Amino acid sequence: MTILSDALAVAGKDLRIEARSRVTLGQILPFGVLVLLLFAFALDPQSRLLPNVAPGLFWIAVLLAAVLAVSRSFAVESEHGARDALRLSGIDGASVFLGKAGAIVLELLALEVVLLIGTFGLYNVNVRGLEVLIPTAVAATCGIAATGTVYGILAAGLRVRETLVPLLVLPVTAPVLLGATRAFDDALTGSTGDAWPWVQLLVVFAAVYVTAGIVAFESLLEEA
Amino acid sequence: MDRNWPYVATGYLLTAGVLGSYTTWLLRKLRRADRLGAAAGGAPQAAIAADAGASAGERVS
Amino acid sequence: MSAQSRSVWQTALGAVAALAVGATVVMALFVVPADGGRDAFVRGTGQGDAYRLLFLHVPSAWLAYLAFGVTALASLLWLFPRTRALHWDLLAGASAELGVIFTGLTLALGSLWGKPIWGQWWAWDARLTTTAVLFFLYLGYLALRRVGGSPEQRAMRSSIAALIAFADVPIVHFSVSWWTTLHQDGSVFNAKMQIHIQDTSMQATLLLGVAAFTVLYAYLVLRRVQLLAVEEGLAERELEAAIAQRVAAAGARPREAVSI
Repeated sequence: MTILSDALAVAGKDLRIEARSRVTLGQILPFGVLVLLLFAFALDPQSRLLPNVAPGLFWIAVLLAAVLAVSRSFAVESEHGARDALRLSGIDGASVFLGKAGAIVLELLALEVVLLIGTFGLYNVNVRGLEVLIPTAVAATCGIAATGTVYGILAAGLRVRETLVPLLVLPVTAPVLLGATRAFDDALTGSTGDAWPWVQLLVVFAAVYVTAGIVAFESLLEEA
Repeated sequence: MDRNWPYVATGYLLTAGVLGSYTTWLLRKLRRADRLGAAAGGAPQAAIAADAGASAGERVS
Repeated sequence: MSAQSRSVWQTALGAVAALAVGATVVMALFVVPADGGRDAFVRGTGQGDAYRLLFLHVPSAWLAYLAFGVTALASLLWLFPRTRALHWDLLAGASAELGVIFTGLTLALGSLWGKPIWGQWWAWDARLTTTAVLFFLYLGYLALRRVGGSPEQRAMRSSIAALIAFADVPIVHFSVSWWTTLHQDGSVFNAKMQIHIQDTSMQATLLLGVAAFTVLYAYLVLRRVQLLAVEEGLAERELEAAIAQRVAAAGARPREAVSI
């Protein structure tokens, strides 16, 4: 399958850039943890509030960091004519999409592990129900990365990219925030059975936008 | 009208204000474009027709 | 059709829209009886006069959804190679703009109705929440349309963005209604929320309102597309004129190095 091997090549390229430049590790990851801290400052840490709202705060931190990761992923392409090189490389748009989205998925999953440890430590949340947390996180992250990548290429190369991407990505991912928060809430409170419908919703969301990205990316790469 | 009339009045005035100002803005811009179009040569209506014809005719790749 | 007769039809459409909307307002404010009879709100038998807001709220909501549907359809027509033409993109943009305006009106009118009837400006009801998300989805779409580039680039970008936004609507609605039924606070949704539109004059007014707003939408979207087309045409002509000027200037001074 050349589509998949090409996608792996693109993802590998993005991940190598991140490994060398340390922007994700040195800026986006600390930003995510910082958001967790800020929530604790805003909401009284002494009260019982924090553990109860921890799933929502966790996913808001992920979404905000995801917006940065998407911007970063396409900032890389806009420098040194990298986008033209990508276009001329003969790699199919679908592979470029899968590769870039895949790299963002891996970055976000790493971030989520750190943030989960953060919520565990900072918000005093008992992490349990991993058999629900992991599929939820994977499905939600795929959905976020897919929408983010499509909107990233839409806004790539525009002067207003930094301000446009959040306005585009955040409303579309509203169902992800809702579903992932509910599923995490159910898992952490021990009622894992209630979480599965939400996980299904997240899978449907991810499937819709991964398909949309695969279909639309070629024309977006060419035209926009 | 019962004591909720201020809500009703606000709603109707708001709707009138929003739709009225949008329509006014739109028609004023169209009139201005008409004048400019006439000055630039050719009635804008004809220009629109030509425009639509051209874009319908050719396949934009 | 000649430009002359087209303009006559257009004016007629505008006049019909204005008359119909005017008639709706007169009917809704002065002809239909208050819900639940006289002093209904105080006696608790109905919504009283506050429900008169629904004669604007319901048509606005219908139009918001219609407008976004038209945007999605026009975007599809642009994406489909055999029907690809720039006027579909202009229609998509014009319709989305009207959709955002009507969504905003729907939210504002719903709020104004909710305060006296529910006792609060906002409730996390499925339809309200979906409409609010819709508002921001299409605000983003409109922002994306304004970023520049060639008309073809804009059309490609925005048509895909429109379809992404449109595909999100059922998912948002589904997730939100699920979410709100999980922890519904019953106190907000008391019996007063139920509207009993049995009166024929009420029904007629509601239908008239929907029809009136639809005609108004048709008129506005038509004119908006024309304005967009004129603006685009003018921009093109100005550019051509500027290039012609520079070419002429270059021709007059052949010794200078010229870059256009």
